[in-house]
Amino acid sequence: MYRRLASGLFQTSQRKIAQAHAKPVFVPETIVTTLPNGFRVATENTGGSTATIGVFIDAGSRYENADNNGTAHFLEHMAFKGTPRRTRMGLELEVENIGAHLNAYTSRESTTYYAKCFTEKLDQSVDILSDILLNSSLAKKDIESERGVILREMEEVAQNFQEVVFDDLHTSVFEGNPLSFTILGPAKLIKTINRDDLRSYIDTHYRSGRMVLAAAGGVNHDDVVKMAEKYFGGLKHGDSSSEFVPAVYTPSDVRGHIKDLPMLFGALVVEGVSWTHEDNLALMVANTLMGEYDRMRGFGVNAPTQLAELLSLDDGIQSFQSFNTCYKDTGLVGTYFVIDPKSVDNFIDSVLNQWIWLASEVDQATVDRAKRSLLTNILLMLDGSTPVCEDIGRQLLCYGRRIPTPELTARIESITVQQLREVCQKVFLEGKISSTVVGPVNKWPSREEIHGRLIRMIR
Amino acid sequence: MLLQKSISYMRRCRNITTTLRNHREIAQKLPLSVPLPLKNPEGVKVIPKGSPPIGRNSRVTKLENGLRICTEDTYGDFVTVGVAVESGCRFENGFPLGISRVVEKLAFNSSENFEDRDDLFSQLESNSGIVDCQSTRDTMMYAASCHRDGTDSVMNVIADTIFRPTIDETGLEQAKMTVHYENIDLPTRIEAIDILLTDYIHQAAFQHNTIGYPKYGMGSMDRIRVSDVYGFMSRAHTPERMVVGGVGIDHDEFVSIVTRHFDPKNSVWNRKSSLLPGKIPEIDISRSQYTGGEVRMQKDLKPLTIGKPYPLLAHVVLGLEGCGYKDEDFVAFCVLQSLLGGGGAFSAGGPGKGMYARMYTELMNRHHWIYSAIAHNHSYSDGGVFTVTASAPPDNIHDALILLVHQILQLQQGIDPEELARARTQLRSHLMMNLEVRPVLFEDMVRQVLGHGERKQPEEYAERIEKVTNQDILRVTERLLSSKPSLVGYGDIEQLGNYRMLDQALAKRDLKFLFKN
Repeated sequence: MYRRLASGLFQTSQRKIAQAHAKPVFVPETIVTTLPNGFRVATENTGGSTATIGVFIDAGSRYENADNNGTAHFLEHMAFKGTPRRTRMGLELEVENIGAHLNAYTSRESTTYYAKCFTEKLDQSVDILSDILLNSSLAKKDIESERGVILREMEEVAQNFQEVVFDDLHTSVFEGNPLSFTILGPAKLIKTINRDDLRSYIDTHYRSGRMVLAAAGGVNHDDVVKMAEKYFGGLKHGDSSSEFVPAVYTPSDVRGHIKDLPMLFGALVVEGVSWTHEDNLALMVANTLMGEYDRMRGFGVNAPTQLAELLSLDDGIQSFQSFNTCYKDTGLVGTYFVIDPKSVDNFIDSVLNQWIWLASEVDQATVDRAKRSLLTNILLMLDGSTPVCEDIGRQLLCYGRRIPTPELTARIESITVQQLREVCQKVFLEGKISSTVVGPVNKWPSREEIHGRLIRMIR
Repeated sequence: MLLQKSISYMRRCRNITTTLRNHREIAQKLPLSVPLPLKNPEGVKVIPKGSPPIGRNSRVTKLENGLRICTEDTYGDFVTVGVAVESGCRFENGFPLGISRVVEKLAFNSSENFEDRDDLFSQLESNSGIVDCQSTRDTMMYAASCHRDGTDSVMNVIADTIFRPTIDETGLEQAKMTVHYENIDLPTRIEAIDILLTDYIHQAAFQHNTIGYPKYGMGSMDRIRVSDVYGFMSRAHTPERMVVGGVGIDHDEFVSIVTRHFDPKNSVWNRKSSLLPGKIPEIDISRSQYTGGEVRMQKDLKPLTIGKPYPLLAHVVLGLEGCGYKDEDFVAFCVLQSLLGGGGAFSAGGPGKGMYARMYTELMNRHHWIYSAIAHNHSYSDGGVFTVTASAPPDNIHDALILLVHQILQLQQGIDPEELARARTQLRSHLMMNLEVRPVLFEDMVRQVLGHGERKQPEEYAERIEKVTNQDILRVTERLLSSKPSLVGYGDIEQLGNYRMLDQALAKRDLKFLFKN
C-alpha cells in the first residue's frame, strides 16, 4: 500500500519538475551512521568555518529511582570540574584558547553536552566532550562544593513559579512513576549523593545504544564518524529499554496556597500524546491555535489567536502560554497562565470554549493559517549550527531518525480540519482534566467542577 | 551530501498533498518514527557526500538611481531580505529630536497597499514571513524572513512601508505613546540599564552633535507633526542612502524584484508634495565631533532590586575616544575590546564565555562587590567611543571607577602573547559564529555595503584580526589615553568623584589624582 502511494507521488512530481525551469535550492541532508556498538552519529553539513557538535544521551531524571533522583543533574554540574587529563583551569583555558564554547543541560528524558567551535577544532572538541563525560574526576571536594551550588539553585527554582507549577504538575499526574521526579531531585538526596552514585550512574547510563553524536555547520560526516570511533568506540553496550517504566497519567489537582501573592500561577491540562504519536502534529497545530499572550509584550510576531484576542480584553489576565509537552509514551497539553484571581472564571470558560471550538467549529482557512504558521516557526528556528545540531540530536532520541523537511511539510500539509477536530475532541473534550495552581488559590475550582462546566458548555 | 532541489519545491509539496488527499489516512496514521514513503523525484540531483559547501557568492549591483542591491547564497527554503537606510538619531539635526524613533515605530503599519497592520500581517503570514524594524544611531534596518517563494510580495510590503506609508494624526499619536511607554518602561528593567548607559555615554562623548543625540530621550516629541515625519523620510529615504539586501536568493531575480518595487519616483511624497512641510532641512552630513564630558544621573534604583538576587547597585561608564569602522586601527580596537571582555556576575554558561578576559580575572574575580564589568567598542562611519562599564553598590562606585581607570593604564604595560592570542581567537570565533545565523549575516552584509560601498568578507576581517600585535594594542592604548575622558554615573552616585579628578588622573596617567584625601 505504501509502495503504491510512493509511486503515485513520484509520477505526479516528475511531471511538474519537467515543466519548471530548475533554479537550485540547496538543502543539506542529515546523514546517520550507527557504529557496531550501537552508538549513532548524525551530521548535517551546512557549511561555514564553525560548527556545533554535541552528545545527546537517552538519560535524564525519568531513568532515576527514589534513591538516586538528581544524579543526572548533579553530574552535569560536575562536568566542567576537570578530569585526570585536564584540571579544571586547564580545561577552561583550553576551551577559551581555541575560541570554543561548552554547554550542558539535563531534562526529564535526556542529557545534552555540546561544544561550539571552529571546524578545525572539531576533533579536539569531541576529545574534550568525551573526556568530561566519561572521565570526570568527581573529586570529593568538588562534589561537596557543588552540593551547595545545587541547593542554592533549588532555592532559586522555588522562587520561579513557572518551574514550581510544572514540577508540581509532573509530581501529581505521574505519581508513582519516575516521570514525576524533578530534575534537581529532593534536597535529601542532593545532600547525600556521593562519588559512587555518580560513578555508577555514568557506568549504567552512558551506554553506546543511548548516545548520539550530532553535528551541524561546517562538518564532514566521515570525519565525525572517525571521531566517534576514536573517542566513543570503547563504550559498553546497552540501551534504555530495561530501565524504561511506562508512565500512567492520573488526573489530579494541586494547590499551593500562598496568600500574599497578588497573582495566581497555574496550568490547566489534559493528557497529550507521545513524541512519535500520529496525532502529535495535529496537536501542535491545535496548540498554535490556542496561542499565547503577554500583557507586557503584546501578541508577539505572529498574528494573535482568537483566545489571545479575547483574553487581552480582560485586564486580570497577565499572560498565558499554551504548551504541548511530549515524552516517549505520553504527553501533557494545556495552558500555563498568570492571572488575577478575579479573572479565574473568565479564563477557564474562555479556554474550555476554545477547546470546544477546536473540536467542532474550527474552519479550513483558520487551520491552514495555523499549519503555515507552525511550519514557519519550526523552520525559521533552524537557523545557525546550534539549533540544527540540537534538533538532530533530539529527533534521533525521540523519533529514532531525523524527519526530512519535505516530509515534515507534507505531514503538516496533510492535516485536515476533520482530523484536527477529531484529535481535539479526543484529547481535550474526552480527556481527563488536571490543574496545578500556586498563589491565592481560593477561587480556583476543583477539576470535577471544571469538567462539569465543560460538559454543560458542550450541551 | 547535498540534496539539490528545484525552486518549485513548494509547488511539489502541494502536489504531494493532492495525491495524499486520496491516501491521507496513511499520512495521518503513520507514527512520526516511520518515514513517509516519499521519494526524491527524478531531476533532483544528489550531490556526492563530501562535496564542498556552497560559497557565499556575494554580488552587488548599483542601479542608475544610486540604489545598491546585494545578495549572498545560503541553504534552505527561507530567505532574509530587507533594507538598511542611512538614517537614525545622528541625522536629526534641524528636525525635531526623536523623529527617527517615531519613524521606527510607524514601520509596518498602514501604507498605500495595506489598509492597516492586520492587513499587512495577514499578507506576510500567507508568505510565511516575519518582519522587524530596528534603528541604531546611524542605520534603520527594515528586515523580513520569509519563504523564498514569497520574496516578491514581502519586498512589496517593505517598499510600501519605506516609500508609501499612510501616516495620520492617530497613527502618529500611537507611535508617540509607544515611545513614551518605552521611556517609562526602560529604567524599570535591570537588563535595560545597558541600553540607557550606552545612550548616556554617547551624549557625554559627543556633546550636542551627531552620534551624541539621544536615542531614548523624549526629544521634541510633542512638536513632531505628520508633515515633519514625511519630511524626514523624504530626505532620508533616498536611493543613494539605501542598500537592499537578500540572503539565500538568486541575485538577478532579486534585482528584478527590487527594481520593480523600489522606484523612488513612486514615493508618496513625490506624488503628493502637499504632504511635506514648506521647508525641509537637508540631512546633516557633518562629521562627528568627539568632545568628552560627563552625564550624571542621580536616581533611586531601589525598586529594581525587589525580589532580585543582587543588592542596590550604581553604575559607572568611562569612555575614551575610539575610532570609526573605516579607521585602520578599527580591528585593533576590537581586539582590545575582546581582551578586556567581561559580563555580569550572574551570566550563565560553561567555559568559552570569555572567563579569562581581564574584566573577569582582574575585576570581578578579585573584587566580590563588582557585579558586572564589561568593555564595549562603539564605531561609526567617522568616529567612535571605547567604553568600560562597572556596576557596584553606591558606596563602592568611586572605587569601581578607579579600577576601570587602572585597567586602561595597565594596558601601557603591553600584553602577554598567550593572552593576546586568546583575545584574537575569541574575537574571530565570536564573529564567525554570529554569522551562522541568517539575519545576522544579512545585517552584516548590508551594513558593509552601506558603510564601505562594498561587501568586505568576514574572512578578510578574520585575517586582519590575526595580524594584530602587541604594538598595535600599545598604539591604540596611546590613542585612548590622549583623548579627553567621557564619564557617566547612573543611580545613587553621590560617592562618584568629579570629572576633574578623572581628567587629571588620565592626563597624568596616575591613579593618585582619583584618591580622595
